[in-house]
Amino acid sequence: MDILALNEYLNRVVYGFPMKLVFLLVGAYLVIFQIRWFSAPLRMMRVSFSETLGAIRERTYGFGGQITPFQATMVALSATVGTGHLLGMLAAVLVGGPGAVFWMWLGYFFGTGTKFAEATLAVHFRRRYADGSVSGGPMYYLYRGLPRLRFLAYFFAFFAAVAAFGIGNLSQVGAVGGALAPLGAPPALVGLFLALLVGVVLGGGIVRVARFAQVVVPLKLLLFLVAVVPLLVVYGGQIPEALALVFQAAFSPEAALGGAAGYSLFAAINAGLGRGIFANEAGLGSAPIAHAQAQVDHPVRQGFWGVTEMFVSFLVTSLTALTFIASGLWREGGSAAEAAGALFQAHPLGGFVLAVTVAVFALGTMVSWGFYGEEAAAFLFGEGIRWPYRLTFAVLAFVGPLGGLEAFLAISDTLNGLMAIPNLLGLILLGPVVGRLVYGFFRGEPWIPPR
Amino acid sequence: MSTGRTGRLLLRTPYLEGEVFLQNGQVVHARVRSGEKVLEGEEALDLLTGIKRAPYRFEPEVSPPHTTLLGGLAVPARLAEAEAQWRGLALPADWGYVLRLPAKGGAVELGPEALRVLAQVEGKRIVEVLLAPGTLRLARILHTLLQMGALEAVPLVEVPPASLLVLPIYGPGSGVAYVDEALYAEWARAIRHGFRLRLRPPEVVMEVRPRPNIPGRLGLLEEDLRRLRLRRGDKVEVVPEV
Repeated sequence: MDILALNEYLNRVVYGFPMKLVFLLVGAYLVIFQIRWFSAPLRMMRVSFSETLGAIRERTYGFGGQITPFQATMVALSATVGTGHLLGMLAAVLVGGPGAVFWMWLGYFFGTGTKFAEATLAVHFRRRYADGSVSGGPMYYLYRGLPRLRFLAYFFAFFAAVAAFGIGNLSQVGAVGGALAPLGAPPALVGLFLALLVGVVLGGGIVRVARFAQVVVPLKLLLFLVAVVPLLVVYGGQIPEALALVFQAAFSPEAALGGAAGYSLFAAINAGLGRGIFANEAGLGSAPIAHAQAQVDHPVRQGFWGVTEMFVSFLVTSLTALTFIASGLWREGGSAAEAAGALFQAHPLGGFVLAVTVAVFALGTMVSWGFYGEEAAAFLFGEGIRWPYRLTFAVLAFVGPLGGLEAFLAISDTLNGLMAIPNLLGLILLGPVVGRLVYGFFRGEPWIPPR
Repeated sequence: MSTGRTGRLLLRTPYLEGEVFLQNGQVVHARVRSGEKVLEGEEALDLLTGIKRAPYRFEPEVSPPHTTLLGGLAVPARLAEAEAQWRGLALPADWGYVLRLPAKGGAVELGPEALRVLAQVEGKRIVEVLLAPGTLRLARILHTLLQMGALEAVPLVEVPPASLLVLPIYGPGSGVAYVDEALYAEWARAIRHGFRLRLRPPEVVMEVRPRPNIPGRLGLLEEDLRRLRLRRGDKVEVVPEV
């Protein structure tokens, strides 16, 4: 078996249906038994809003550290809200039908527990340095929280450091290049711009990455609204029907879709869960690297920001899906790019708005993933690796649009999926720590970091 | 004194300045000053005897401006007598403390002289009250008033107000405000006495406790947030008070 065949096999495993069920079960375990959303759902919801949207006006006030909880969430959101929210979502509906959206929502719901636990543990087990800076993420909570299973931390860090070059770099520069090509942007110029931008932003460390994310995330959301609102106006009349179709097709797609070819319950669940898990990255372990940077008095506060990250991601994917279903274009099949092209024909700005939105989405994802990869590499090889890693990341951003790195991209995609295995195992084993932190938070107890 | 030295013994505390002049080993002049108020002679000596700790300096060969004490054995005798009287009194060691009527009321029986003193001391520092003719008598009255609880002595708090952002603390209980450990320690060092926290607005006084990792924030329990009509991120000015 050659390395590409092995990679293909592993890829099927890490993105396969059984793995998606594992994601779902881990989320359910955390939601029901550790965080206990259901013990006082209304209070949990109220506190969740108070801690996040209620704290927006104090977004510039940290707790004395490098970046505020709001900024840390922006870094995470900058990575999370990517092209998967647009093209990936359309692909899921094309493969699984409208019912996939329901299963995606289920994935999102249980994913809130996973993301909450990740963000909470990332802050709890992070490492603080003498200059006030911090480093955290799954590699740190696996290393410090599970001393007997430290190899999991090294595995995770290795997967993340390499995957960042693929999913966080080549995939994204490919998306930017692809989106801007119809507008006449030469690949070499796109690559040069991306390399310079990524180099300058990553070179400023987490503070500059956070400042960049603070600008790019609202820009992403604004562009998304500019892209989707006119379509919602055009197809607004069909939205209630689309919503009804989501629920009807969730359990019996064949009956609900009037015998539309190729849609089965399995396809709906598989495609829906895929979006509900991989679009928001809950369980992959990437976002906690950003959440760990937040200066908060209690890790649970950042856990609530993790939930907000899920909420924003949920809104973007849901609006995309509902617009697409309401348009009726999903019945015509084809690829996600073709479907997107057809969908945006109804937009007054046409494909231009789609191209710019995809490009900005990919750009934000790239910078945040650069930071994730750098943190993972620094965990493995020490602080000295930061600049070499940044330079390599910038060089790859330059050569990415020129193409020819498909094999590496395929391997890094698998490594991205592999990140979930040590992370999910860690979340199960460290679930009781999350439970204790949540209990202490709601008893008014101060946070005592582990030694 | 027995060495027969001449010079000036200078005592200086944050709230008063005292001088004792020696001439050939005899105490010939004493003077105490606090702000505009000055006391000289035996009364000044009585007052200086009551000071428990103070930094001092001896300046040799400094002559007294004039003589207010006769010297001889009468001065040591007077000192011994005053010291014995001070020993029976329990005034705060820091005479910079401010006297005030206690917040909680109560019934006490006072003589006319104590009543007259009580009527005049509110808001004054201990040293200002003692720096008057009849120092020992006034000290006795103050001692009685403090022991009876008709008066209380508290440190003069000169801590600037801090502007903090409200941070909800989720948990049971009420009436407690949390501030960052570093700010609490800074206040505790400046006040050196138990203190509470005044919030403005709203004008309320709450128990204050230190809490880690909340610089720039004022942690308030949910019930207090509801009671005070405050919400997350509101700016509140706080000042510690004793």
